[in-house]
Amino acid sequence: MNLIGGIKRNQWVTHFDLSMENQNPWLRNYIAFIGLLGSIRPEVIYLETMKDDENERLSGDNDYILSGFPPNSRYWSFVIYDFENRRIEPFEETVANSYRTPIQKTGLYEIILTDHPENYPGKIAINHGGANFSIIMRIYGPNLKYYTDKESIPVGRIKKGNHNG
Amino acid sequence: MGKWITKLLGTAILTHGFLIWIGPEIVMRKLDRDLEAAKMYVEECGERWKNGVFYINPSCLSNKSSARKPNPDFLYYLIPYDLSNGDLYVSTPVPSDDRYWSIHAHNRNTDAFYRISNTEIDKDKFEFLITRDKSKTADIPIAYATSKKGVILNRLVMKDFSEYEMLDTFRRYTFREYR
Repeated sequence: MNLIGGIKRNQWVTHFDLSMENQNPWLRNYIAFIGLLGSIRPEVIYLETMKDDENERLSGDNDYILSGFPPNSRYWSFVIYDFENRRIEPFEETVANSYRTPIQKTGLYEIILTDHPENYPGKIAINHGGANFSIIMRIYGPNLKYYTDKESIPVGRIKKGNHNG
Repeated sequence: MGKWITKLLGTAILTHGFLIWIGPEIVMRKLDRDLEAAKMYVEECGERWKNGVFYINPSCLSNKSSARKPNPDFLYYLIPYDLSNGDLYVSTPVPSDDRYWSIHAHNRNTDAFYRISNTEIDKDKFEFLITRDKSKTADIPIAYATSKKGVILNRLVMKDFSEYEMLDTFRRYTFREYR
């Protein structure tokens, strides 16, 4: 990880210079294998994690509650992928975004990560299909302050949930 | 002793240079192969290649080795180019609503050397030129590439998956030619 740098916010990692002409060459190499053609500053901030709040790997055996304050941006989304960086099928159920995710009175979003979305009627759910997974948060058109003050990026909390909905 | 150190140092520098060059090159070659394969018509994927533009159908992405971590919400199109054929002119429709839309142009080493999003465009169409000629001027925006080959990538967000057909029709007004 040291070769490619990286900025940490809790369990989330981001790279502000991704795909830019002055980026760290090792980062370019790394991203080529996991993401290929990334968008660039100030268009987007990508945050990624493979771990929950207890620093345990995200497992297809568990349900999780992903919650947080929405970022100040044009559009944001959470998408899950398997540990080999591949899409999980059905892909339409692996995403939650700012257009379709309601914000609660508290100002928070709440997204369930589960392989049984039917257990959570009325909730926004991402279906991990029982696979171990990582999550990418994409913040498009972010508040430019996020680039200078990483602590201001509102990252999500990921806690183990249960099957009771 | 000094000779050996020089040799070792030289090898280390060469290896370092090779390794940081090889990754992007390998994946761009994979992308080339995937794009070539996508020229073949597959009924379930629709017409993906049209006039030099590759319109990615999200349903047909999953087994493409070069498509890592695509955003399921996005409709992407790709325009691979080779500037040995001339400068590349592109004209593409821009959505008039608040949905996210952007263009990035990438060099062969995957770096993005140009980007623009619809908040910076006040027309329903965006025209631009890609060239390696730094002295080139035009009455449309110019993106100066540093490699002969590269790729243009468009992102268009679907607020809902039911918008696919409407947005697919919309993006297909894209046109490109070498000048």
